[in-house]
Amino acid sequence: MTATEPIILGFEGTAHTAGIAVVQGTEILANKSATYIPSEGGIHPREAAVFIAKKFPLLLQEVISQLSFNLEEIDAIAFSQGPGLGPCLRTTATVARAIALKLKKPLLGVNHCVAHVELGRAITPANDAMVLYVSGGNTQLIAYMNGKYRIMGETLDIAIGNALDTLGRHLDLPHPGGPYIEREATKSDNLLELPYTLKGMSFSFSGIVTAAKKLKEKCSIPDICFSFQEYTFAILAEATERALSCTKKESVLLTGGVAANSRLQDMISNVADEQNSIFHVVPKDLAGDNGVMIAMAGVLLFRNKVFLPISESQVIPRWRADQVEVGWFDESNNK
Amino acid sequence: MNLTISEELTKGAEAIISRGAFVDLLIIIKHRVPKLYRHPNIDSMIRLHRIRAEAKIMTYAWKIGVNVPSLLGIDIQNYSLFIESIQGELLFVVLNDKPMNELSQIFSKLGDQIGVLHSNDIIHGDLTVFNVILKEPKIPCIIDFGLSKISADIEAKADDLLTFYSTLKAIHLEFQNLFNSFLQGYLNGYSEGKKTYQQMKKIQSRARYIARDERLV
Repeated sequence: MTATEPIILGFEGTAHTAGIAVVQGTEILANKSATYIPSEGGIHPREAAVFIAKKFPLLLQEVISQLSFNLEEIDAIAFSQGPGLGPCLRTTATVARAIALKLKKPLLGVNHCVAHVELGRAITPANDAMVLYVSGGNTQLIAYMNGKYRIMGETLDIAIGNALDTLGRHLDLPHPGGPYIEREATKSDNLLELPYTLKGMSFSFSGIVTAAKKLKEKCSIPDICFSFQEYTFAILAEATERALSCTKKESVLLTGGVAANSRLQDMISNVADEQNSIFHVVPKDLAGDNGVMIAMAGVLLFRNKVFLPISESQVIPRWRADQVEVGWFDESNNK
Repeated sequence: MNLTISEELTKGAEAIISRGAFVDLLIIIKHRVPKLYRHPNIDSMIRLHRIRAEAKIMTYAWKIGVNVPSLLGIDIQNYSLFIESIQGELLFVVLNDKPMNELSQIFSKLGDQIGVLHSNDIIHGDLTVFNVILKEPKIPCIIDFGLSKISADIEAKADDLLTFYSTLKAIHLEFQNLFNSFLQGYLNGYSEGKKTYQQMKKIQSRARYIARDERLV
């Protein structure tokens, strides 16, 4: 790492996580986050936004205390401009704008989905990869082609993390459902029948959730969890294999909160082997939403001088990864 | 049986494709291999279901005059199909070499063929430019019916259109023009085609983070 690498302060706040980090190039200098857990039901956008607003000042203090230099030394402020829940995005944007004005530093508007991909590219050996991005809000197969990240396949209704949470709540498991469903699933090897909903390289999960919920009356929770994972993950694995077979990407990158699931990791790793591709997974502590990914994507925007004037920094709740102009991608392996 | 299998051509996502000969006819052998990543019950259910669907529906499509390879044989124990070998390149491969006016004609013809499939309630299930072979001079030939089914459901037909649109969008800069040509042919081949297209836009608007302007395309 050379001394000329830009130092970026990143703010993540698209849904349930408030995250702040400082990075220099691909080196993490500070990283703090807090996650909102709803007392009942799913994420309430307004409550999540209030949570984020309360946490940012505390997290920022912690981050500042970890730095060996003054906050004035940073080069720019990056924030998650979208996609996400409107109230959360607006809160985060307000904080980022205020800090940028106070420090008189430029602002960088980061796409949350692209940031997940860029973090993976920065901290794993993956470069030109087929990315399977699995989280509570998104489930997409993303690959770089002709100047943009293209969405090869995606959920046509709800995200896999959302599906796991919804099923988890129905089975009276705590939030977030994913890790608890994974734990319950290890207690069973009895496969129940569920629908298999693959549409080309896209897929849908709400029908499988409904079918799995109906099993509650007559089947055990471990059996339901095991079967649900086996079906939904097999669909994701097959979609990934199809996308890989079409694009012949050199590697597969698994990221997002659900990437922490070891059964999913096993399946995707196996798919990568089958297609002579190398499997990479973002480590658990950085796979979910965090400030580091925003800051690292900010580094790329900063190097490309893609600055965002405050007057144009309104949030974009429905900003898709394929709408971002990617000026920094080098397909040859020299990252 | 005078069947010879000469070489493995390619390994697709779900099958090994080999070249062979039946007497003196060039053929393709499509062998669906087990996938170790998924539960064995799911694996055999999927492979059995798909080889049956593919055999049945390919034959049906061929009978109604759609450009598909003809099915020559099926070996259900080995999850293998014996299919006529089509000489030509995948549409995906030639997509960036051909001029737009030629591509427009090809896409319109392809749309017309899909229209004929849909008017006979045949759903392809994995309709992308990766599953079309361009037979010389420029006849699109539709392959890979593994995810196909018979259904009168407008939602299933719309899924075909959406899959085609999304993949095209992901890989070609002129996706909108090409899709319009495709759609023109589709509406020509299928009198109820307009309804399918409306439904496609409805499904599209259900997905996450679809920009508002794109919902109206």
